[in-house]
Amino acid sequence: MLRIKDLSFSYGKEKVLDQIDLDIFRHTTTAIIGPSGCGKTTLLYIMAGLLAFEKGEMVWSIEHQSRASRKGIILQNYGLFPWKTVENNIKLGLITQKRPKEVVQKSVDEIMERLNITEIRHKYPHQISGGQRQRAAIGRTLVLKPELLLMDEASSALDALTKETIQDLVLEIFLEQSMSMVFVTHSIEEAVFLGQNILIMEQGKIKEKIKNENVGMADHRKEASFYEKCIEVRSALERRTSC
Amino acid sequence: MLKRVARIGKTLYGVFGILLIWMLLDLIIKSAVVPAPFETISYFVRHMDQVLMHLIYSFYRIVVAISASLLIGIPLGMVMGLLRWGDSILSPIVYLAYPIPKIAFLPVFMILFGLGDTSKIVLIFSIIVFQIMIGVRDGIKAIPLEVHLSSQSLGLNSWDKIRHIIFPSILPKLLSSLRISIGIAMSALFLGENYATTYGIGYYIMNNWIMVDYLAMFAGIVGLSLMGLLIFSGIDWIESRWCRWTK
Repeated sequence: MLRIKDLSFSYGKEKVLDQIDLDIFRHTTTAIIGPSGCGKTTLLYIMAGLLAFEKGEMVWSIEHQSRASRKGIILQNYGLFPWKTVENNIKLGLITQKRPKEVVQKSVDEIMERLNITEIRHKYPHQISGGQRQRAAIGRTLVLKPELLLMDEASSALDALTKETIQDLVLEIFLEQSMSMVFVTHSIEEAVFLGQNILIMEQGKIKEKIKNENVGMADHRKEASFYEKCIEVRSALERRTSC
Repeated sequence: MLKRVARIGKTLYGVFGILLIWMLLDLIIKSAVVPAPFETISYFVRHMDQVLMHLIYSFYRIVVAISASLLIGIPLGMVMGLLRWGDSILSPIVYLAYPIPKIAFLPVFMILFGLGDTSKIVLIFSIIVFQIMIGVRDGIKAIPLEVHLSSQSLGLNSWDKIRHIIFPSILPKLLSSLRISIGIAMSALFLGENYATTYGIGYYIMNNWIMVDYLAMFAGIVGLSLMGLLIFSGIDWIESRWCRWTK
């Protein structure tokens, strides 16, 4: 659905992304992992259209050309608007797309119900917990029904249990809907739990691609295959980032 | 409900605090220059129509000046906050003009805009507008990057961005700027109303001072104070309605 070819990007003289080649296929999940400053967030921002790349190509397949909201991003600090309630944060994207009022309300009600945040609909972001803020940010993005969901270390600020609950929720939503997902993470466990493809980045380049077929397996975190894959990713990271 | 009771409680505390200090001053000074508070309030109530007429003139001048300052200051502040060239062009002018005591320009304003209301309104406008511009500019510059990125990712157009992102985010700073500048503007208006007019609370206070009618003078001061309370309460009300997330 999305092909990135020979893509490069620099901040001034500093090269951040160097000749990136990447294919994102329909209904797949891709984890991008690597040390700080390796260019993973920049790559995600370029995919989201938040940064303009200077060299290379980024091509959407034909069936996605006409969709205005084909991609949605959840930022590291969620990027919720402090002056809007949870409900109004989720509504905003639909309102600005000039959708009919009834359609907006129905979609917002459905997504809040699905994410279990109906009770906090009238609260402002500073009045809710980190996990609830995360759910609200997911809701604001998912209500626009993106075909590609992008997440930038979206659960990094959460405690271990809330993080797992959110990961379970994201996985459930991914399995229910026909969207694709690309996420940046520092956590090997998260990459292995959610990423069917795990990309290891270093110094602006994709150094290694690891396939992970067990995503969506019941009780995945308790399976030996989960730990084996974590060890594989850790070894690859150590190998690639120590040179 | 509890918040409303607390707010009324605070106002009453302020009123009683001032009355107490005033009573003590009256007892200590024992001079006609500081009349007794209850005598003054009684005078104020008996001559309400007279004081009110002058207050309405002053209120009109302040409200028109605030409205004009908001109408011109907000867009200019937005240009300064949103566009780099706007900041480069306007900030040096603002920094040079802002510290000048505007009351010094009252004679110039009188020559340019006449002896009527316009010169006094322009005087207050010249005091408030710079504060508004700076407040709006700083409000915009303080918007976190993630908020800009979020609005960009949601596909907001320029108008939606101003309506849903810029305006609500600058509102608390704008109201703070307004509170500070209105206090200064009311003092300036008091001085401005002493020239070429026979209407306005500034004129009423100073005229009664010259006439050595301290009771009427203090009734005017009470009126001016109540007008301040009304304006500041109005700003508080707007803040409680439009800036709920700050509570």
